[in-house]
Amino acid sequence: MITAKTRQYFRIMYVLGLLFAFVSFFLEWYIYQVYDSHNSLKSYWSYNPVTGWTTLFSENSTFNYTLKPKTFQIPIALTILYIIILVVSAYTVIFRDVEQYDPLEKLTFHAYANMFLLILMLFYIFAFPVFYLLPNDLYFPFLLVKDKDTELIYHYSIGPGYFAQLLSFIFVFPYAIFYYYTVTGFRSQEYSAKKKVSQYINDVQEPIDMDTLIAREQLKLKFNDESLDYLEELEEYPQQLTKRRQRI
Amino acid sequence: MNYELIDIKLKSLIRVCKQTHNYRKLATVGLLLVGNVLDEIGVKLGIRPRNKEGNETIFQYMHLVNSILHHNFKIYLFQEDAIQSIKTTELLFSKNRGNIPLELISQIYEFFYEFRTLEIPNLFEKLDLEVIAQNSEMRAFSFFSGNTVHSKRKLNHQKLKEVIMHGFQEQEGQLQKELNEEYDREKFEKMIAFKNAKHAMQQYDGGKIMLRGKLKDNLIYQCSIPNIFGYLIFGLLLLFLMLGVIVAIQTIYHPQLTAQMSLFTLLFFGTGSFFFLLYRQYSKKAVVVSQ
Repeated sequence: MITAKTRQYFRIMYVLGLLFAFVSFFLEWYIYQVYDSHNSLKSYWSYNPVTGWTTLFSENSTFNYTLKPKTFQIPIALTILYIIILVVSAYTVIFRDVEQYDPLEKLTFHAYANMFLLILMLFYIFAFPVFYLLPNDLYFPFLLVKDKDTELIYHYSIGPGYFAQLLSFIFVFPYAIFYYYTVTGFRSQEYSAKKKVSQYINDVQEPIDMDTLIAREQLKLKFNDESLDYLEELEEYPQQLTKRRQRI
Repeated sequence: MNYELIDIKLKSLIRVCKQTHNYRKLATVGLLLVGNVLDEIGVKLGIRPRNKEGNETIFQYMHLVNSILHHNFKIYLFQEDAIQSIKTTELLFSKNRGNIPLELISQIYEFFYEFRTLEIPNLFEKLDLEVIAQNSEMRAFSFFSGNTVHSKRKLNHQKLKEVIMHGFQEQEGQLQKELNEEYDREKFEKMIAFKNAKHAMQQYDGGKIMLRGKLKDNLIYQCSIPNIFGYLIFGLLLLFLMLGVIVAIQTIYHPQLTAQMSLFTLLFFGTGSFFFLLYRQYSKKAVVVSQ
Protein backbone atom coordinates (compact mmCIF):
# COMPACT_ATOMS: atom_id res chain seq x y z
CA MET A 1 0.00 0.00 0.00
CA ILE A 2 1.29 3.45 -0.89
CA THR A 3 2.08 5.40 2.23
CA ALA A 4 1.66 9.04 3.14
CA LYS A 5 5.35 9.40 2.28
CA THR A 6 4.39 9.18 -1.39
CA ARG A 7 2.07 12.10 -0.84
CA GLN A 8 5.02 14.05 0.52
CA TYR A 9 6.97 13.35 -2.69
CA PHE A 10 4.08 14.69 -4.73
CA ARG A 11 3.94 17.71 -2.45
CA ILE A 12 7.63 18.39 -3.09
CA MET A 13 6.98 17.87 -6.80
CA TYR A 14 4.21 20.45 -6.57
CA VAL A 15 6.56 23.01 -5.01
CA LEU A 16 9.09 22.30 -7.77
CA GLY A 17 6.31 22.80 -10.31
CA LEU A 18 5.51 26.18 -8.82
CA LEU A 19 9.20 27.10 -8.98
CA PHE A 20 9.35 26.09 -12.65
CA ALA A 21 6.26 28.14 -13.39
CA PHE A 22 7.72 31.16 -11.64
CA VAL A 23 11.13 30.82 -13.28
CA SER A 24 9.48 30.45 -16.70
CA PHE A 25 8.56 34.15 -16.58
CA PHE A 26 12.25 35.00 -16.66
CA LEU A 27 13.02 32.66 -19.57
CA GLU A 28 12.37 32.73 -23.31
CA TRP A 29 9.06 31.20 -24.35
CA TYR A 30 9.66 31.31 -28.08
CA ILE A 31 12.79 31.66 -30.18
CA TYR A 32 12.93 32.83 -33.75
CA GLN A 33 16.31 32.72 -35.54
CA VAL A 34 17.43 33.38 -39.10
CA TYR A 35 20.66 32.00 -40.52
CA ASP A 36 22.23 32.60 -43.89
CA SER A 37 23.65 29.91 -46.21
CA HIS A 38 27.00 30.08 -44.34
CA ASN A 39 25.23 29.25 -41.13
CA SER A 40 25.88 32.62 -39.54
CA LEU A 41 23.19 34.12 -37.36
CA LYS A 42 21.49 37.04 -39.07
CA SER A 43 18.53 37.61 -36.80
CA TYR A 44 17.57 36.49 -33.31
CA TRP A 45 14.33 37.23 -31.49
CA SER A 46 13.03 35.67 -28.32
CA TYR A 47 9.65 36.16 -26.71
CA ASN A 48 8.86 36.44 -23.02
CA PRO A 49 5.33 37.17 -21.69
CA VAL A 50 6.64 39.95 -19.43
CA THR A 51 9.20 41.66 -21.65
CA GLY A 52 7.77 40.83 -25.10
CA TRP A 53 10.20 40.41 -28.06
CA THR A 54 13.87 40.92 -27.27
CA THR A 55 16.95 40.45 -29.42
CA LEU A 56 20.62 39.67 -29.02
CA PHE A 57 21.54 42.16 -31.74
CA SER A 58 22.05 45.86 -31.26
CA GLU A 59 19.47 48.41 -32.36
CA ASN A 60 21.71 49.35 -35.29
CA SER A 61 21.20 45.98 -36.94
CA THR A 62 18.58 46.89 -39.51
CA PHE A 63 18.51 43.42 -41.05
CA ASN A 64 17.61 41.95 -37.67
CA TYR A 65 14.84 44.54 -37.24
CA THR A 66 13.51 43.87 -40.72
CA LEU A 67 13.01 40.21 -39.81
CA LYS A 68 11.36 40.95 -36.44
CA PRO A 69 8.17 38.92 -35.96
CA LYS A 70 4.84 40.69 -35.57
CA THR A 71 4.42 42.22 -32.14
CA PHE A 72 1.88 40.72 -29.77
CA GLN A 73 1.48 40.93 -26.05
CA ILE A 74 -0.18 38.54 -23.62
CA PRO A 75 -2.18 40.81 -21.23
CA ILE A 76 0.16 41.81 -18.44
CA ALA A 77 -2.75 41.72 -15.95
CA LEU A 78 -3.11 38.01 -16.64
CA THR A 79 0.57 37.45 -15.97
CA ILE A 80 0.36 39.40 -12.68
CA LEU A 81 -2.69 37.36 -11.69
CA TYR A 82 -0.79 34.17 -12.51
CA ILE A 83 2.12 35.20 -10.30
CA ILE A 84 -0.25 36.10 -7.43
CA ILE A 85 -1.97 32.71 -7.69
CA LEU A 86 1.46 31.05 -7.75
CA VAL A 87 2.35 32.76 -4.45
CA VAL A 88 -1.04 31.83 -2.89
CA SER A 89 -0.60 28.26 -4.03
CA ALA A 90 2.93 28.08 -2.61
CA TYR A 91 1.61 29.37 0.72
CA THR A 92 -1.17 26.75 0.58
CA VAL A 93 1.08 23.82 -0.03
CA ILE A 94 3.66 24.84 2.54
CA PHE A 95 1.48 26.12 5.39
CA ARG A 96 -1.90 24.52 4.77
CA ASP A 97 -1.19 20.83 4.71
CA VAL A 98 -4.40 18.98 4.00
CA GLU A 99 -3.49 16.19 6.43
CA GLN A 100 -2.72 18.36 9.40
CA TYR A 101 -5.19 21.18 9.02
CA ASP A 102 -8.48 21.09 10.89
CA PRO A 103 -11.21 21.90 10.01
CA LEU A 104 -10.95 21.04 6.33
CA GLU A 105 -13.70 23.52 5.42
CA LYS A 106 -11.20 26.36 5.87
CA LEU A 107 -9.08 24.96 3.07
CA THR A 108 -11.80 25.32 0.44
CA PHE A 109 -10.42 28.64 -0.80
CA HIS A 110 -6.94 27.16 -1.12
CA ALA A 111 -8.27 24.13 -2.98
CA TYR A 112 -10.05 26.41 -5.46
CA ALA A 113 -6.93 28.61 -5.77
CA ASN A 114 -4.93 25.51 -6.77
CA MET A 115 -7.56 24.60 -9.35
CA PHE A 116 -7.52 28.14 -10.71
CA LEU A 117 -3.74 27.89 -11.05
CA LEU A 118 -4.18 24.73 -13.12
CA ILE A 119 -6.66 26.52 -15.38
CA LEU A 120 -4.21 29.40 -15.84
CA MET A 121 -1.43 26.95 -16.68
CA LEU A 122 -3.64 25.23 -19.23
CA PHE A 123 -4.53 28.60 -20.68
CA TYR A 124 -0.90 29.59 -21.11
CA ILE A 125 0.08 26.23 -22.58
CA PHE A 126 -2.83 26.20 -25.03
CA ALA A 127 -3.53 29.85 -25.69
CA PHE A 128 0.06 30.95 -26.26
CA PRO A 129 0.59 28.87 -29.42
CA VAL A 130 -3.01 28.94 -30.68
CA PHE A 131 -3.94 32.58 -30.10
CA TYR A 132 -0.56 34.31 -30.32
CA LEU A 133 1.94 32.24 -32.31
CA LEU A 134 -0.09 30.73 -35.14
CA PRO A 135 -1.88 33.95 -36.23
CA ASN A 136 1.57 35.58 -36.48
CA ASP A 137 3.02 32.81 -38.66
CA LEU A 138 5.19 31.49 -35.89
CA TYR A 139 5.27 27.70 -35.96
CA PHE A 140 4.87 25.25 -33.11
CA PRO A 141 6.73 23.41 -31.60
CA PHE A 142 9.82 23.30 -33.89
CA LEU A 143 10.23 24.03 -37.56
CA LEU A 144 13.11 24.73 -39.92
CA VAL A 145 12.22 26.53 -43.15
CA LYS A 146 14.67 27.09 -46.00
CA ASP A 147 13.93 29.96 -48.33
CA LYS A 148 15.46 29.04 -51.70
CA ASP A 149 15.18 32.57 -53.09
CA THR A 150 16.96 34.40 -50.29
CA GLU A 151 18.98 31.38 -49.13
CA LEU A 152 17.96 32.11 -45.57
CA ILE A 153 17.18 29.43 -43.02
CA TYR A 154 14.42 30.22 -40.53
CA HIS A 155 14.41 28.42 -37.16
CA TYR A 156 11.16 28.43 -35.21
CA SER A 157 11.14 26.80 -31.79
CA ILE A 158 9.52 26.98 -28.38
CA GLY A 159 11.91 28.14 -25.70
CA PRO A 160 12.93 26.95 -22.23
CA GLY A 161 10.22 29.13 -20.64
CA TYR A 162 7.46 27.20 -22.41
CA PHE A 163 9.17 23.92 -21.52
CA ALA A 164 9.22 25.02 -17.90
CA GLN A 165 5.48 25.68 -18.19
CA LEU A 166 4.89 22.18 -19.53
CA LEU A 167 6.98 20.66 -16.75
CA SER A 168 5.30 22.74 -14.09
CA PHE A 169 1.90 21.56 -15.33
CA ILE A 170 2.97 17.91 -15.02
CA PHE A 171 4.35 18.53 -11.54
CA VAL A 172 1.43 20.60 -10.27
CA PHE A 173 -1.50 18.66 -11.72
CA PRO A 174 -1.56 15.51 -9.50
CA TYR A 175 -1.26 17.23 -6.14
CA ALA A 176 -3.62 20.09 -7.06
CA ILE A 177 -6.35 17.61 -8.05
CA PHE A 178 -5.62 15.46 -5.01
CA TYR A 179 -5.82 18.51 -2.71
CA TYR A 180 -9.08 19.64 -4.28
CA TYR A 181 -10.73 16.21 -4.08
CA THR A 182 -9.55 15.65 -0.53
CA VAL A 183 -10.85 19.00 0.72
CA THR A 184 -14.17 18.91 -1.09
CA GLY A 185 -14.72 15.15 -0.79
CA PHE A 186 -13.99 14.80 2.90
CA ARG A 187 -15.70 18.03 3.76
CA SER A 188 -18.94 17.13 1.97
CA GLN A 189 -18.93 13.69 3.55
CA GLU A 190 -18.70 15.14 7.04
CA TYR A 191 -21.09 17.99 6.32
CA SER A 192 -23.78 15.83 4.81
CA ALA A 193 -23.61 13.31 7.66
CA LYS A 194 -23.93 16.03 10.30
CA LYS A 195 -26.68 17.78 8.44
CA LYS A 196 -28.60 14.58 7.80
CA VAL A 197 -28.43 13.52 11.44
CA SER A 198 -29.62 16.87 12.79
CA GLN A 199 -32.36 16.99 10.16
CA TYR A 200 -33.41 13.46 11.02
CA ILE A 201 -33.55 14.28 14.74
CA ASN A 202 -35.75 17.28 13.95
CA ASP A 203 -38.02 15.12 11.83
CA VAL A 204 -38.53 12.40 14.41
CA GLN A 205 -39.08 14.69 17.38
CA GLU A 206 -42.64 15.65 18.21
CA PRO A 207 -43.25 19.32 17.40
CA ILE A 208 -44.18 21.52 20.34
CA ASP A 209 -45.55 24.94 19.51
CA MET A 210 -44.71 26.70 22.75
CA ASP A 211 -45.83 30.11 21.52
CA THR A 212 -49.34 28.86 20.73
CA LEU A 213 -49.56 27.05 24.04
CA ILE A 214 -48.50 30.14 25.96
CA ALA A 215 -50.83 32.39 23.95
CA ARG A 216 -53.83 30.15 24.60
CA GLU A 217 -53.12 30.04 28.31
CA GLN A 218 -52.77 33.81 28.37
CA LEU A 219 -56.08 34.15 26.54
CA LYS A 220 -57.69 31.83 29.02
CA LEU A 221 -56.26 33.90 31.83
CA LYS A 222 -57.36 37.16 30.29
CA PHE A 223 -60.94 36.16 29.50
CA ASN A 224 -61.23 33.60 32.27
CA ASP A 225 -63.09 31.41 29.78
CA GLU A 226 -62.91 27.64 30.19
CA SER A 227 -64.62 27.13 26.81
CA LEU A 228 -61.29 27.90 25.13
CA ASP A 229 -60.16 24.47 26.24
CA TYR A 230 -61.57 22.87 23.12
CA LEU A 231 -58.87 24.63 21.14
CA GLU A 232 -56.20 22.67 22.94
CA GLU A 233 -55.12 20.29 20.26
CA LEU A 234 -52.13 19.23 22.25
CA GLU A 235 -54.27 18.01 25.10
CA GLU A 236 -55.56 15.29 22.85
CA TYR A 237 -52.23 13.66 23.53
CA PRO A 238 -53.23 12.04 26.87
CA GLN A 239 -56.43 10.77 25.27
CA GLN A 240 -54.48 9.16 22.44
CA LEU A 241 -52.09 7.70 24.93
CA THR A 242 -55.02 6.28 26.94
CA LYS A 243 -56.46 4.70 23.81
CA ARG A 244 -53.11 3.07 23.08
CA ARG A 245 -53.00 1.56 26.57
CA GLN A 246 -56.50 0.19 26.21
CA ARG A 247 -55.56 -1.50 22.96
CA ILE A 248 -52.48 -3.03 24.56
CA MET B 1 -33.19 21.34 19.68
CA ASN B 2 -32.47 24.88 20.82
CA TYR B 3 -32.53 24.38 24.56
CA GLU B 4 -31.93 28.02 25.43
CA LEU B 5 -35.04 29.05 23.56
CA ILE B 6 -37.02 26.17 25.03
CA ASP B 7 -35.96 27.20 28.56
CA ILE B 8 -37.18 30.77 28.04
CA LYS B 9 -40.51 29.66 26.62
CA LEU B 10 -40.91 26.92 29.17
CA LYS B 11 -40.49 29.45 31.96
CA SER B 12 -43.31 31.57 30.49
CA LEU B 13 -45.51 28.50 30.03
CA ILE B 14 -44.99 27.33 33.61
CA ARG B 15 -45.75 30.83 34.91
CA VAL B 16 -48.99 31.15 32.96
CA CYS B 17 -50.08 27.54 33.59
CA LYS B 18 -49.60 28.06 37.30
CA GLN B 19 -51.95 31.03 37.10
CA THR B 20 -54.55 29.09 35.11
CA HIS B 21 -53.94 25.90 37.15
CA ASN B 22 -53.59 23.97 33.91
CA TYR B 23 -51.06 21.45 35.19
CA ARG B 24 -52.26 18.92 32.68
CA LYS B 25 -50.68 21.00 29.92
CA LEU B 26 -47.41 21.14 31.83
CA ALA B 27 -47.42 17.37 32.23
CA THR B 28 -48.11 16.89 28.53
CA VAL B 29 -45.38 19.27 27.45
CA GLY B 30 -42.97 17.72 29.92
CA LEU B 31 -43.53 14.22 28.57
CA LEU B 32 -43.19 15.44 25.00
CA LEU B 33 -39.89 17.14 25.88
CA VAL B 34 -38.56 14.01 27.59
CA GLY B 35 -39.58 11.94 24.56
CA ASN B 36 -37.81 14.35 22.22
CA VAL B 37 -34.61 14.33 24.26
CA LEU B 38 -34.63 10.53 24.25
CA ASP B 39 -35.11 10.50 20.50
CA GLU B 40 -32.07 12.76 20.14
CA ILE B 41 -30.01 10.50 22.40
CA GLY B 42 -31.09 7.41 20.50
CA VAL B 43 -30.41 8.79 17.05
CA LYS B 44 -27.01 10.12 18.09
CA LEU B 45 -26.14 6.64 19.30
CA GLY B 46 -27.25 5.18 15.99
CA ILE B 47 -30.45 3.66 17.44
CA ARG B 48 -33.82 4.07 15.74
CA PRO B 49 -36.09 6.79 17.17
CA ARG B 50 -39.06 5.94 19.42
CA ASN B 51 -41.85 4.34 17.45
CA LYS B 52 -44.70 6.69 18.28
CA GLU B 53 -47.01 5.20 15.71
CA GLY B 54 -46.44 1.79 17.20
CA ASN B 55 -47.40 3.07 20.70
CA GLU B 56 -43.91 2.63 22.07
CA THR B 57 -43.77 4.33 25.44
CA ILE B 58 -40.91 6.39 26.78
CA PHE B 59 -39.90 3.81 29.36
CA GLN B 60 -39.96 1.04 26.75
CA TYR B 61 -37.64 3.11 24.59
CA MET B 62 -35.34 3.73 27.55
CA HIS B 63 -35.18 -0.02 28.05
CA LEU B 64 -34.33 -0.48 24.38
CA VAL B 65 -31.47 2.09 24.53
CA ASN B 66 -30.14 0.43 27.67
CA SER B 67 -30.30 -3.06 26.18
CA ILE B 68 -28.49 -1.98 23.00
CA LEU B 69 -25.79 -0.18 24.96
CA HIS B 70 -25.40 -3.14 27.26
CA HIS B 71 -25.12 -5.50 24.33
CA ASN B 72 -22.44 -3.34 22.71
CA PHE B 73 -20.59 -1.73 25.60
CA LYS B 74 -21.86 -3.58 28.70
CA ILE B 75 -23.13 -0.33 30.17
CA TYR B 76 -26.51 1.07 31.13
CA LEU B 77 -27.22 4.69 30.25
CA PHE B 78 -30.41 5.04 32.31
CA GLN B 79 -30.67 3.88 35.89
CA GLU B 80 -33.42 1.37 36.58
CA ASP B 81 -35.11 3.61 39.19
CA ALA B 82 -35.31 6.44 36.63
CA ILE B 83 -37.02 4.09 34.15
CA GLN B 84 -39.43 2.94 36.85
CA SER B 85 -40.31 6.55 37.77
CA ILE B 86 -40.97 7.41 34.13
CA LYS B 87 -43.05 4.24 33.80
CA THR B 88 -45.20 5.14 36.80
CA THR B 89 -45.66 8.70 35.55
CA GLU B 90 -46.53 7.60 32.03
CA LEU B 91 -49.04 4.97 33.14
CA LEU B 92 -50.69 7.31 35.60
CA PHE B 93 -50.74 10.03 32.97
CA SER B 94 -52.59 7.85 30.47
CA LYS B 95 -54.93 6.42 33.11
CA ASN B 96 -55.96 9.85 34.49
CA ARG B 97 -55.94 11.55 31.06
CA GLY B 98 -53.07 13.81 31.93
CA ASN B 99 -54.03 14.64 35.48
CA ILE B 100 -51.09 13.62 37.58
CA PRO B 101 -49.78 14.89 40.93
CA LEU B 102 -47.58 17.96 40.94
CA GLU B 103 -44.64 15.96 42.33
CA LEU B 104 -44.68 13.75 39.26
CA ILE B 105 -44.84 16.78 36.95
CA SER B 106 -41.80 18.31 38.59
CA GLN B 107 -40.11 14.90 38.37
CA ILE B 108 -40.76 14.84 34.60
CA TYR B 109 -38.96 18.17 34.26
CA GLU B 110 -36.15 16.93 36.46
CA PHE B 111 -35.70 14.01 34.09
CA PHE B 112 -35.87 16.35 31.10
CA TYR B 113 -33.03 18.44 32.48
CA GLU B 114 -31.08 15.36 33.56
CA PHE B 115 -31.33 13.62 30.19
CA ARG B 116 -30.43 16.63 28.18
CA THR B 117 -27.29 17.21 30.21
CA LEU B 118 -26.10 13.73 29.22
CA GLU B 119 -23.49 14.61 26.63
CA ILE B 120 -23.97 11.86 24.12
CA PRO B 121 -21.19 11.66 21.52
CA ASN B 122 -22.61 11.79 18.04
CA LEU B 123 -21.45 8.58 16.39
CA PHE B 124 -21.82 10.22 13.01
CA GLU B 125 -19.21 12.82 13.83
CA LYS B 126 -15.49 12.35 14.13
CA LEU B 127 -14.19 11.09 17.44
CA ASP B 128 -11.78 13.24 19.34
CA LEU B 129 -8.48 11.42 19.22
CA GLU B 130 -7.17 13.46 22.13
CA VAL B 131 -9.09 11.06 24.34
CA ILE B 132 -7.25 8.16 22.79
CA ALA B 133 -3.90 9.89 22.94
CA GLN B 134 -4.34 10.51 26.67
CA ASN B 135 -4.95 6.85 27.21
CA SER B 136 -1.77 5.03 28.06
CA GLU B 137 -3.05 1.63 26.98
CA MET B 138 -3.77 2.95 23.51
CA ARG B 139 -0.14 3.91 23.00
CA ALA B 140 0.41 0.31 22.09
CA PHE B 141 -0.87 1.36 18.66
CA SER B 142 2.61 2.57 17.84
CA PHE B 143 3.68 -1.07 17.50
CA PHE B 144 1.39 -1.36 14.52
CA SER B 145 2.29 1.87 12.87
CA GLY B 146 5.81 0.57 12.38
CA ASN B 147 7.55 3.09 14.61
CA THR B 148 9.22 0.51 16.81
CA VAL B 149 11.03 -1.63 14.33
CA HIS B 150 12.81 -3.75 16.94
CA SER B 151 9.62 -4.65 18.75
CA LYS B 152 8.04 -5.55 15.45
CA ARG B 153 10.84 -7.94 14.70
CA LYS B 154 10.84 -9.54 18.13
CA LEU B 155 7.17 -10.09 18.61
CA ASN B 156 4.89 -12.20 16.58
CA HIS B 157 2.05 -10.11 15.22
CA GLN B 158 -0.69 -12.43 16.43
CA LYS B 159 0.70 -12.56 19.95
CA LEU B 160 0.98 -8.83 20.08
CA LYS B 161 -2.56 -8.53 18.91
CA GLU B 162 -3.70 -10.77 21.71
CA VAL B 163 -1.76 -8.75 24.26
CA ILE B 164 -3.37 -5.54 23.05
CA MET B 165 -6.81 -7.12 22.95
CA HIS B 166 -6.33 -8.24 26.53
CA GLY B 167 -5.32 -4.70 27.48
CA PHE B 168 -8.43 -3.39 25.78
CA GLN B 169 -10.66 -5.80 27.64
CA GLU B 170 -9.19 -4.86 31.01
CA GLN B 171 -9.57 -1.20 30.27
CA GLU B 172 -13.07 -1.71 28.93
CA GLY B 173 -14.12 -3.61 32.04
CA GLN B 174 -12.95 -0.75 34.23
CA LEU B 175 -14.78 1.80 32.08
CA GLN B 176 -17.96 -0.29 32.08
CA LYS B 177 -17.90 -0.39 35.86
CA GLU B 178 -17.40 3.37 36.09
CA LEU B 179 -20.02 4.14 33.47
CA ASN B 180 -22.59 1.94 35.14
CA GLU B 181 -22.07 3.95 38.33
CA GLU B 182 -22.21 7.33 36.61
CA TYR B 183 -22.43 8.37 32.97
CA ASP B 184 -19.52 10.42 31.66
CA ARG B 185 -19.11 11.57 28.07
CA GLU B 186 -15.34 11.17 27.95
CA LYS B 187 -15.45 7.67 29.33
CA PHE B 188 -18.18 6.76 26.91
CA GLU B 189 -16.10 8.12 24.02
CA LYS B 190 -13.22 5.97 25.21
CA MET B 191 -15.53 2.97 25.15
CA ILE B 192 -16.51 3.73 21.56
CA ALA B 193 -12.86 4.21 20.64
CA PHE B 194 -12.01 0.83 22.17
CA LYS B 195 -14.80 -0.80 20.26
CA ASN B 196 -13.66 0.80 17.00
CA ALA B 197 -10.09 -0.28 17.59
CA LYS B 198 -11.09 -3.83 18.49
CA HIS B 199 -13.27 -4.04 15.43
CA ALA B 200 -10.44 -2.72 13.26
CA MET B 201 -7.98 -5.22 14.70
CA GLN B 202 -10.34 -8.07 14.01
CA GLN B 203 -11.03 -6.84 10.49
CA TYR B 204 -7.52 -5.99 9.33
CA ASP B 205 -4.90 -8.61 9.61
CA GLY B 206 -2.31 -6.42 7.95
CA GLY B 207 -1.70 -4.88 11.34
CA LYS B 208 -3.28 -1.57 10.39
CA ILE B 209 -5.81 -0.06 12.72
CA MET B 210 -8.74 1.88 11.43
CA LEU B 211 -9.58 4.92 13.51
CA ARG B 212 -11.91 7.76 12.84
CA GLY B 213 -10.30 11.08 13.64
CA LYS B 214 -7.89 13.47 11.94
CA LEU B 215 -7.47 13.03 8.22
CA LYS B 216 -3.99 11.56 8.45
CA ASP B 217 -5.36 8.78 10.65
CA ASN B 218 -8.30 8.07 8.39
CA LEU B 219 -8.08 4.80 6.53
CA ILE B 220 -10.36 5.99 3.72
CA TYR B 221 -8.05 8.94 3.20
CA GLN B 222 -4.96 6.73 3.29
CA CYS B 223 -6.56 4.50 0.67
CA SER B 224 -7.21 7.53 -1.51
CA ILE B 225 -3.50 8.44 -1.63
CA PRO B 226 -2.71 5.93 -4.44
CA ASN B 227 -5.17 7.92 -6.60
CA ILE B 228 -2.50 10.58 -6.85
CA PHE B 229 -0.60 8.35 -9.35
CA GLY B 230 -3.77 8.17 -11.39
CA TYR B 231 -3.92 11.97 -11.39
CA LEU B 232 -0.31 12.11 -12.61
CA ILE B 233 -1.09 9.79 -15.52
CA PHE B 234 -4.25 11.75 -16.28
CA GLY B 235 -2.27 15.02 -16.24
CA LEU B 236 0.22 13.64 -18.76
CA LEU B 237 -2.63 12.33 -20.92
CA LEU B 238 -4.28 15.75 -20.86
CA LEU B 239 -1.04 17.55 -21.70
CA PHE B 240 -0.11 15.38 -24.67
CA LEU B 241 -3.62 15.46 -26.08
CA MET B 242 -3.60 19.24 -25.76
CA LEU B 243 -0.27 19.50 -27.56
CA GLY B 244 -1.64 17.21 -30.27
CA VAL B 245 -4.69 19.45 -30.64
CA ILE B 246 -2.44 22.52 -30.96
CA VAL B 247 -0.47 20.83 -33.76
CA ALA B 248 -3.74 19.78 -35.43
CA ILE B 249 -5.01 23.37 -35.29
CA GLN B 250 -1.70 24.49 -36.79
CA THR B 251 -2.14 22.16 -39.76
CA ILE B 252 -5.59 23.71 -40.31
CA TYR B 253 -4.03 27.19 -40.26
CA HIS B 254 -1.15 26.13 -42.51
CA PRO B 255 -2.14 23.07 -44.59
CA GLN B 256 1.27 23.10 -46.33
CA LEU B 257 2.80 22.01 -42.99
CA THR B 258 0.82 18.78 -42.75
CA ALA B 259 3.74 16.58 -43.82
CA GLN B 260 6.22 18.32 -41.51
CA MET B 261 3.84 18.18 -38.59
CA SER B 262 2.93 14.51 -39.02
CA LEU B 263 5.79 13.45 -36.77
CA PHE B 264 4.63 15.75 -33.96
CA THR B 265 1.01 14.69 -34.47
CA LEU B 266 2.01 11.06 -34.15
CA LEU B 267 4.25 11.79 -31.17
CA PHE B 268 1.68 13.78 -29.20
CA PHE B 269 -1.42 11.75 -30.00
CA GLY B 270 0.53 8.50 -29.73
CA THR B 271 1.90 9.38 -26.30
CA GLY B 272 -1.55 10.64 -25.30
CA SER B 273 -3.09 7.32 -26.31
CA PHE B 274 -0.42 5.44 -24.38
CA PHE B 275 -1.24 7.41 -21.23
CA PHE B 276 -4.94 6.88 -21.89
CA LEU B 277 -4.44 3.10 -21.92
CA LEU B 278 -2.21 3.32 -18.88
CA TYR B 279 -4.81 5.39 -17.06
CA ARG B 280 -7.56 2.92 -17.97
CA GLN B 281 -5.52 0.02 -16.73
CA TYR B 282 -4.63 1.91 -13.56
CA SER B 283 -8.28 2.80 -12.88
CA LYS B 284 -9.34 -0.85 -13.28
CA LYS B 285 -6.59 -1.92 -10.90
CA ALA B 286 -7.61 0.76 -8.40
CA VAL B 287 -11.23 -0.45 -8.48
CA VAL B 288 -10.13 -4.06 -7.84
CA VAL B 289 -7.90 -2.96 -4.94
CA SER B 290 -10.65 -0.87 -3.38
CA GLN B 291 -13.07 -3.81 -3.61
